[in-house]
Amino acid sequence: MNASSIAISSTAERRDWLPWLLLALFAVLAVVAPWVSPYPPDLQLDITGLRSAAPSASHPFGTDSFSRDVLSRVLHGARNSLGFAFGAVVLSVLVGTSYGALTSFAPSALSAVMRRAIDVALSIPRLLVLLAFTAFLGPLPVWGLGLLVGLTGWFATARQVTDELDALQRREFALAAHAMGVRTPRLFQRHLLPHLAPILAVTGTFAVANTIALEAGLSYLGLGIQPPTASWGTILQDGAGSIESEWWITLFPGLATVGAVLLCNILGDALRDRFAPAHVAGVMPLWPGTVASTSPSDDQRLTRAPESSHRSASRT
Amino acid sequence: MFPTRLLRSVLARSRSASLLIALAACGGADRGTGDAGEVGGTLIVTVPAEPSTLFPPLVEGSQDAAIVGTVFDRLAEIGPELETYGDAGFRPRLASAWTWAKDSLSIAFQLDSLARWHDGQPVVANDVRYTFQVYTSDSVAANNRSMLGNIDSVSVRDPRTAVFWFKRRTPQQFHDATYHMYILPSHLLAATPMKQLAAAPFARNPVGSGRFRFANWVAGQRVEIVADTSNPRGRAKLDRVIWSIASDFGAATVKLFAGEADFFEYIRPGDLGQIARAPSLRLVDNRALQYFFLGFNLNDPSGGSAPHPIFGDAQVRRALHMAVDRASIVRNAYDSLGLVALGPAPRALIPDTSSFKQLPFDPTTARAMLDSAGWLDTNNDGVRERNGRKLSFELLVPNSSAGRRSLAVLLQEQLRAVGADVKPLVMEVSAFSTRTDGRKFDAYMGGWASTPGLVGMPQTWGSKGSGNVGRYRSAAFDALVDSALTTFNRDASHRYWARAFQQIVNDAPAIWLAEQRAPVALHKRFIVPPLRPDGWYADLADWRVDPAQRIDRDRIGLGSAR
Amino acid sequence: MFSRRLLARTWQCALVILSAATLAFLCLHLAPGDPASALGENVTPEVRARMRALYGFDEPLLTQYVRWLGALLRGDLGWSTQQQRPVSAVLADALPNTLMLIVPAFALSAAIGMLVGAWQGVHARSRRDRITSNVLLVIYSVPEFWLAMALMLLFARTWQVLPATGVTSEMHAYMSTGDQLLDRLRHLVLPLTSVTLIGVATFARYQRNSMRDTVGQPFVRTATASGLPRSRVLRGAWRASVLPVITLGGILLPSYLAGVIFVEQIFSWPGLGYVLLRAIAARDYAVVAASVVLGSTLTALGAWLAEWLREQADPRLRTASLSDSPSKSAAAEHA
Repeated sequence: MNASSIAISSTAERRDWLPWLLLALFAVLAVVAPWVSPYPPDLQLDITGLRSAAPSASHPFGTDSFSRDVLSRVLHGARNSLGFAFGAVVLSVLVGTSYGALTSFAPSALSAVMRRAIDVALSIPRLLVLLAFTAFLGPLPVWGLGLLVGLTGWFATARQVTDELDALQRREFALAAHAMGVRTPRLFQRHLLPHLAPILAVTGTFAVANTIALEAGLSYLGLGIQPPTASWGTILQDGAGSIESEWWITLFPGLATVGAVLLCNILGDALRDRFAPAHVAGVMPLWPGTVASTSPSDDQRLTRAPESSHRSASRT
Repeated sequence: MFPTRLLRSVLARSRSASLLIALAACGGADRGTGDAGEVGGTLIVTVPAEPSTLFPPLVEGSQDAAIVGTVFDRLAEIGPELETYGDAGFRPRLASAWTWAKDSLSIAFQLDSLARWHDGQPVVANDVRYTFQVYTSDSVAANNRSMLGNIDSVSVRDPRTAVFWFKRRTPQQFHDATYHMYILPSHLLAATPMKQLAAAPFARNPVGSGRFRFANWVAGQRVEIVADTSNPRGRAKLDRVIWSIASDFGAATVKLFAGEADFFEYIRPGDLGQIARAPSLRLVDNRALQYFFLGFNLNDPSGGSAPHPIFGDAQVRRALHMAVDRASIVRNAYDSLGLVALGPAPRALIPDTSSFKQLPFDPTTARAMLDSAGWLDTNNDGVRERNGRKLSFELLVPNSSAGRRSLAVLLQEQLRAVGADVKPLVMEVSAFSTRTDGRKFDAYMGGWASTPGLVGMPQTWGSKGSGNVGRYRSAAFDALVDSALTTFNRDASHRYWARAFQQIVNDAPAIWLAEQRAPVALHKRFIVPPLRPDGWYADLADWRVDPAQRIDRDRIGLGSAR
Repeated sequence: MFSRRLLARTWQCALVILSAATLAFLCLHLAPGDPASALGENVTPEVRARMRALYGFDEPLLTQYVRWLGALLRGDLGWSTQQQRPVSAVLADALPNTLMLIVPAFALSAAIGMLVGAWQGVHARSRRDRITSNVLLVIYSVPEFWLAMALMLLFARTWQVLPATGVTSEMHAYMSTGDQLLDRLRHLVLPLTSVTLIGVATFARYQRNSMRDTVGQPFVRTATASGLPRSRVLRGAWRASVLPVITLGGILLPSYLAGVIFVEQIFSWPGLGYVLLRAIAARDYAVVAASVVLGSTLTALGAWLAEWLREQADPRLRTASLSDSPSKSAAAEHA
């Protein structure tokens, strides 16, 4: 099993560079959008003359029904959509890791309650919660929405971190450190966190993929990022009504969304394959199937698996 | 394009079913289902929103109005010319005849002795009296209640005669008595307290007297009406009409193009070409009497009578109006199907469109006016401020109107250019009307369908009008409108109207944006009379299917529902 | 008899519902204005009074909360301002439509996903496996609404082979029983495919890996070496590999509910998601709150069912005693 895992990771390694490169390209474009965009994203260039103009040399992606340059909007959309997803995921990873660590180190009674709370939180469909909040709070600014998405997305991470720390604490190095009188915060920071990092990277990557899709979905429903701010979701919404006659408005942000999500998923897979062997050799498999036994903790292991946490975290 | 409560002034729009044609065609012979050449067929109307109620006094959207207008009857129906002056333009409907009192302060309506409710009970004078009580009741809060202000009371002279008593003589008093109310069946409703009528089962299962009867309402999916075969005015030619509810404009458009629906009222300009090319569809002209505007709230939305911190100042309103390039906006949103609105009425209803002047499009002057009104961008963030308040406001937009959503985005950009920050807030129609009726808003994208003869003007823009949600108060405008509506001298009336329009344009309680020549999409197999501007469904009972072009769903016949 | 595991799951189920109800209660209090005044003008004082009785705005928050829970238990979910009828009636109309979509979608995607995944697992790292994996990854990466829109555009609009919207066609009431069934099925195809496809991708990705690793397990190698027919060996391996995937089913339920919301909106499918989105647009707060509770309840019940199924599939679980801290004991087991 070990050998095969290594085989995967080495073949994956060889082809790794392409998704990395493409994703880096997306990220760079998102960062430099204000400088490379031909036009400001919200500028209505000529609402009578350039209404829904088909792609041309001066507007490679065409213009939308408000005569805004679609290329500029997609570039700024990358900035908003990717930035949004990244920000929200960083927030959820931070909160999730902290909660997970606290849970794992807490006295057992408290810890049990905290675990149960996470189980419950994971069972409430996240999209319902998000929709309810947007309904009751009204349209939110981008940062507000990011906060909301981040703060509803950390449960799976917390669960995963808790379980991982539980396992790590039983390993020799941790027991030794403990025996030597290393205090818990230091133990966590110096010894346990480095072991968590790869797992968090994998989870985070999958979570970014899903948050991109989530933002697009919410904005498509008109409940996410609010117009005229360009995000891939809002551009899709602008063009959704005229998808056939003015295909260019939806095609490009649509491809960008699917592309970015796909790249993040590929990257997540690659990272997981690369980091998995170490853990398989260590304590727990990352991948649910790698241990086929059906010990009572299967569901725990499942939620720990990056992909399932990604799945239940962001599609909910 | 114009569903919504803003139709309220004319909600009581109904088929005028040119009675003469109806009588000629359906003179008893083809009341049954037998004649396959004349009758039969299914019309499927796709709508982007579900009706909220089918209780006539409370209808909100145009789909509610359409269904109510075909299931219920008025006492008399306005003619295709929409002439509101006197009674010459009106045709008998539930009332077969009427008599004016010598002093013109009362009219006695004789009810058609054959008129029956769909449950078989005769329509009686008490139904008329009861209807007036419902429409004017505080507990019901009917939408066009204020239009009935000139009617003092309705009395029952005998079971077949209802008498309307008026407060004063006006040219429109016959129109006032007949146009705004659909007669309700008192024998089914009177036992229910007025306050519970809105929530009564009747509102989702109405019984009327029209040539179509209500069949069923499947929540979230469809409302169906079928021909009333025993109607004294003749069986409706179609077997049934189904309003099919789609989740949004896109879905409704797809239904139309996929052949699942036959009729769609709210076409986007972008789809016009496609409809023209579609072999099975055609565009039917519909001179709807709507106009669209950005309405300002002149009072502080937090309550009380304090002026709005931004829009309380007429100079600011005028400046914002002048910052908007209405011609371009209309061209973008409606293509060749729109015109710039000249004021609170479509051109077709304005007696003389050249008799008053428009505010010019002039962003430079607009900026100067905002400067002099004290709104300056002191912190260079692109948005002006005064006394710590930003020139920033929420703009409510109903989600039922793709046109108004477009207008909002276009306006947002143009007003940004003069340092105003517009935050559009798209909401469902009922939430939209709750907010506007509650005066809890800064500005809204409004649309009114004007009443024939502009009799709805006091209700929509008069100081006491219930539709005047922005609380525009102008004694001069009120007086001019009142004079225009009450004088029996037509020339004088036109002069009053010109001055009234000039007054309201100068006061700018709203940015008058667009009126629309709104064609509707219809399947080619239907043969239809000209659509009445105040409601396409007015003559629905006379729509028919070309026998040569029938499709499967036209051949079902009546009564085979399972 | 329920095992301790199942009992624990039952408790969790109750906790989830309680939490959702609490969340909904808090949300209702976040809403601008009190729900009774948000009812609008056209509501009878009786309804308004009932709302006030239900929420009791003058009382302490805790009393209101208890009252709200009590009302929920009695099935009194409030009054829909948009539809002018009880929320329970609104949801009762919508729920069957959602179940009609979500139950077959779940069963189909689990079945297809497990088959595809098992096939892939057996042929892991072959060319066929790689191609299938890549296709699944692409499907997996497409947002639900995007997939639904694409399907609708192609099948309903461009080729016009399937109906675009709704649960039944307008003429449904006039069809023969056979045609009615066909009509329902035709309307079900596109929404069902949209929800199912993404589920297939998820299930297959898990099943593939689970199967691949099971096939590599000593007991399988032993079985193969002892000369058992390959089909029997694989069946045994599949049985062993499917258990974690069943658990996955329970975990994935919330994501089905999310997918259904988008799909219902796009296909005008009058289920819970459609009702919820309309209620949000209409600021129909009581319906939104009730939808959150109902959606969470459905998910919790689904998870409970998955747990029960797993016990049926794996007799060991029925007798296994549950330690207080399962993950720790599991970790110890594998250390």
